[in-house]
Amino acid sequence: MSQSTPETSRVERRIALSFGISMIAGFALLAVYLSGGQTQLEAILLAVSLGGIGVGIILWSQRLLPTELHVEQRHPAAEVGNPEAVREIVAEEGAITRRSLLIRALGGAFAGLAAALAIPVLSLGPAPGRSLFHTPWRSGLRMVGLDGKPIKAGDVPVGGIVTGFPEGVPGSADGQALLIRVEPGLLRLAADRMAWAPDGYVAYSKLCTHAGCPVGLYRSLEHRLICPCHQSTFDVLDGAQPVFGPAARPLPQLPIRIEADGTIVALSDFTEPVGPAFWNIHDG
Amino acid sequence: MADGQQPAGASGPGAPVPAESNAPERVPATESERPTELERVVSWFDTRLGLATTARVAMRKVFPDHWSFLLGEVALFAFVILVLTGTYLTLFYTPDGRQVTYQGPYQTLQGASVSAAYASVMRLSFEVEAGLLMRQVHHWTALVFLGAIAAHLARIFFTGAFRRPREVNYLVGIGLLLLALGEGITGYSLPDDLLSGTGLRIIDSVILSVPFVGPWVASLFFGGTFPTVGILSRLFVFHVMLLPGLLIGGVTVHLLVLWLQKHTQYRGPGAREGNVVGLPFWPGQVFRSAGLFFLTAAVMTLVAGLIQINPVWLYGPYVPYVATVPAQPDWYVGWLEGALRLGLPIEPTILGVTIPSPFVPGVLIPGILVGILALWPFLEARLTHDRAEHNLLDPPWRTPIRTATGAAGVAVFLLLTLAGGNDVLAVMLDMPVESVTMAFRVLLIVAPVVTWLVVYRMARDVRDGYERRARTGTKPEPPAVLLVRGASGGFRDMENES
Amino acid sequence: MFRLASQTNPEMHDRLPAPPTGNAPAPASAPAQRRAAPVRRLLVAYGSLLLIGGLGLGAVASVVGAASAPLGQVGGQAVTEAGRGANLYLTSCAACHGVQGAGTANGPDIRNAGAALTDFMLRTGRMPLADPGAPAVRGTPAFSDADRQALVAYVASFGQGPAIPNVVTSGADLRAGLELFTSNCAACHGPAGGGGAVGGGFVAPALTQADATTVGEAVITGPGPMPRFSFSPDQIDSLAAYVAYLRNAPHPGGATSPEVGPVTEGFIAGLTLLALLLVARWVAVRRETGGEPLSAEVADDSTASDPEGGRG
Repeated sequence: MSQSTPETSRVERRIALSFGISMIAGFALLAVYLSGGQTQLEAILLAVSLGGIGVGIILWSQRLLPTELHVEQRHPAAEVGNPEAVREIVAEEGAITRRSLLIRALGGAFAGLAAALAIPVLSLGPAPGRSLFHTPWRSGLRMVGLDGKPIKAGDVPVGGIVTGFPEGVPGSADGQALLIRVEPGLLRLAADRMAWAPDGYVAYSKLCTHAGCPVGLYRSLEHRLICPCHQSTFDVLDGAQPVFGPAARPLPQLPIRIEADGTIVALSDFTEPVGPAFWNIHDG
Repeated sequence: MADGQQPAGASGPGAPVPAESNAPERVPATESERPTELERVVSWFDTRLGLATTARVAMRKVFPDHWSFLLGEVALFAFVILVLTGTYLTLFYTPDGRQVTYQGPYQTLQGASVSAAYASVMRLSFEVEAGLLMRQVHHWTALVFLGAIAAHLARIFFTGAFRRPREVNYLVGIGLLLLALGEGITGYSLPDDLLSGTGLRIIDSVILSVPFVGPWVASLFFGGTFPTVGILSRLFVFHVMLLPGLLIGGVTVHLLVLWLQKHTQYRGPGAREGNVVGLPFWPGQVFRSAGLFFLTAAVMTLVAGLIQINPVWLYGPYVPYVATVPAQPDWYVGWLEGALRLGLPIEPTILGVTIPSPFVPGVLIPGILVGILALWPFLEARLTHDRAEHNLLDPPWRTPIRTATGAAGVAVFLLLTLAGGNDVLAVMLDMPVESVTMAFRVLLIVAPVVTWLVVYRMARDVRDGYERRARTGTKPEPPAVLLVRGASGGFRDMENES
Repeated sequence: MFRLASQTNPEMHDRLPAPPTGNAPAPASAPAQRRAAPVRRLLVAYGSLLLIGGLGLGAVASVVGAASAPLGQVGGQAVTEAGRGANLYLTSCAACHGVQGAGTANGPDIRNAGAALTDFMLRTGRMPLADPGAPAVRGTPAFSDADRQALVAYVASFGQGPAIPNVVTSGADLRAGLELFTSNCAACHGPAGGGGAVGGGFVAPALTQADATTVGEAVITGPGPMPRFSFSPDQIDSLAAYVAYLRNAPHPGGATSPEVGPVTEGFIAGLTLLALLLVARWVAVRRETGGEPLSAEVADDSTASDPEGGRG
């Protein structure tokens, strides 16, 4: 191993060269860093520095270390399991498990302790309560843009779309709604909903009923809303019924009217929970 | 490091063994050979800790001489790089969801209202020297970490390395895989950019979908109704403390059990059930592992420094009313995303309990798939009635059922992962995204069955061919086999030349 | 720049869907064909300006080739400015859009398209189409600037439509542009303007070639499936400035592409893992150093009782 032949000294020189390159790259990296830094240059120099060490070590192991294979015997399978020891442990334990009353009582104590420990867990968040069933929308609230200013009917051209929020909560996560304007005659809403969509202006919750992503894509030609996350597709003309993808419920519609000054005003909250479903969503 | 604590005169590499030591003098010097400096240091420790006897045995431990046994090491080294770079990032990251005004040097965002967390990631990217490099090494290495674990798992599965006595360590490994996934998901969410916030929104919906407990669990986890200001600090605790702690503990157990049980090995010259053939731990394997660590770090640094990843300044800060297309998670969550995308628009209400649409593809099916994977050693033992100890690995063609089942599983995983990018695929294939989705729904049913049948027949034919030749004496014994995992996830076998 | 080869073709990013035409390859699955028919009915019914396209890339190539050749001759026939526009219209547009833009079975009514939409279609080379079935995709503009202006003026005279916006990007507010872009555009065009599939066979085009005027025209007219937006001139300026910024944005992290995202990143991570497997293979290369063959030693060792054994 330690004898030096022409072959091994050649290998040694190569390994030393590898380490040397690594060293130079390391100092160069320091220089680059001190003179202001440049991400790509830093990466290349760091990679050379690390790689030089790695290549050197591997060459060392391949060319200078003994490489003949060794054989190690395993413990025979029979020696791994030790039935005698198992019996001994179980015998000791038998003196404990036979006290069934005590075992049960101890179990009860642990159950009580677990119940007590649930208290800090419960402080992690409020009871969900009815929070999933309603949004900030109320009757008479105006629809505002992200800047908090009321959206006017004239802001939305035919074929246009605007994200609106309940007055006072611009950016609201559960109150976000899409105001879409279509040619008035095209809407095919249920009879009792036609009044919710005056003059071809119709508003839906922007939260996908599948996984809650904002349904931001609108294909105005076909009046389709698409969720970018899982491609659930909703028909704007038909009450935002799902027509493709994993969403099973329509986007809840926000009943609106248009004031004389063009502002959009909600008639009520959404009439069903917005966003993704949960087990008692229909207990509303 | 012990030097400073020792009385003067008793420390230092060249110090003689101190007189107050009760340990017998065991400096292995002979008259003919004076101890070297290194020997003195080692013996200084040995005379106090008495570890040399154990270490001598440990150093002779034999490691199989095959590159596929290094896959787990690549994963381990990726984890080491993640801990190192992650520690650096932790020094600058602020797990705070409260809004601040961005004032940094990225002009386009100056004056924008962003979360403190997002602002700190911007600072890491644009102000902290080498911060962007660290961020990118961390993110790229995370992607490769999960990939290396998957490759390691595939090697274990397709060669039958999980069989008795290694079922316990297999389960530990599955646990590590799940922890790594958790690390990936929580880490992806921390920068609070648009993509990561959208990911959290979907996670919230999937939790909500669990019958009875969903709304409660979601509220407890997020600290209220999504989106919450406090969620980032919770994810941060998971990402930098709980999950890494469990991972380090799990890796330790994984390696200890491996050490106790010794490696499996491929069939080859001299390899028997009762032995291990290969290189000794010292110096052979130690050099290989050390070299592999530095080379892994070099490759990761190079890729990470030259290819931009997750440019949060382009995505912008998370706001709950914006989502962009294409919206994907990191690749290792792609299969869950794909399952959600292929989900059917069905939301039945049974006895007053609504089963939300994301529940089946997002919770039930992944749970069943992971369950089958975790319990496979026991399922297989039950199927084959083979409960004997196995230390020699099977080439995949020897076990057609296992190989076919694994290949079908790989097919499902690949299809779901691809389905997670159905919109990107639609552009590449020039097809409507709806058609791509429908095609995946069909393929998801058909492909595993076809894959199973084809792989089963192929493996069986190869096995029968070897057995025939063995009987007719053309070839007395099946050759040892190397596994090469193809890009499609399939395996082909090659004769082992060694 | 890192790009996936298959994503560099701008033609792929904004073609319109259509039922498979005679020689165009059909989509791979039956549902696509079923879905395509209602798409067409909708298009015709709602008088889209964009025409239905075949799905084959071959058709795209023929548009580009056919559109430019015969039209070059038209420019020579200039009479008056109005007369030149009318001539160009009759030669290149009237066959489908009819006299005075009233539309025909092959092309929609464009009387109220206005200067902005007409200019958008011609400026980006989407019109004229080689045949009514061809997809309206970005291509080489068929007309010179002067011809285009004459044609736009002529079409604008048909009816009421928005004028070409005057977009000034210098000095615009980039941050406002970023916020507008993220809130309104990124949903379809992607956070870095790389484009993306928006369902129904539509693809929101990459914005890598969109100049300021094109951006302004698209925003106010909503070409094809794109919705319309009522932005103020200042907002349009900011938006166009941000789109221009995206094109030349610095990428401090290294190579990238407009289609950035976890899909590309996952693909590169896979290649990196492959590289690491090759590294592992090299690490595990073992040179035979001679000596007696191993099998002979094993025969001796196999009877050894020392479980800790192994040969030093």
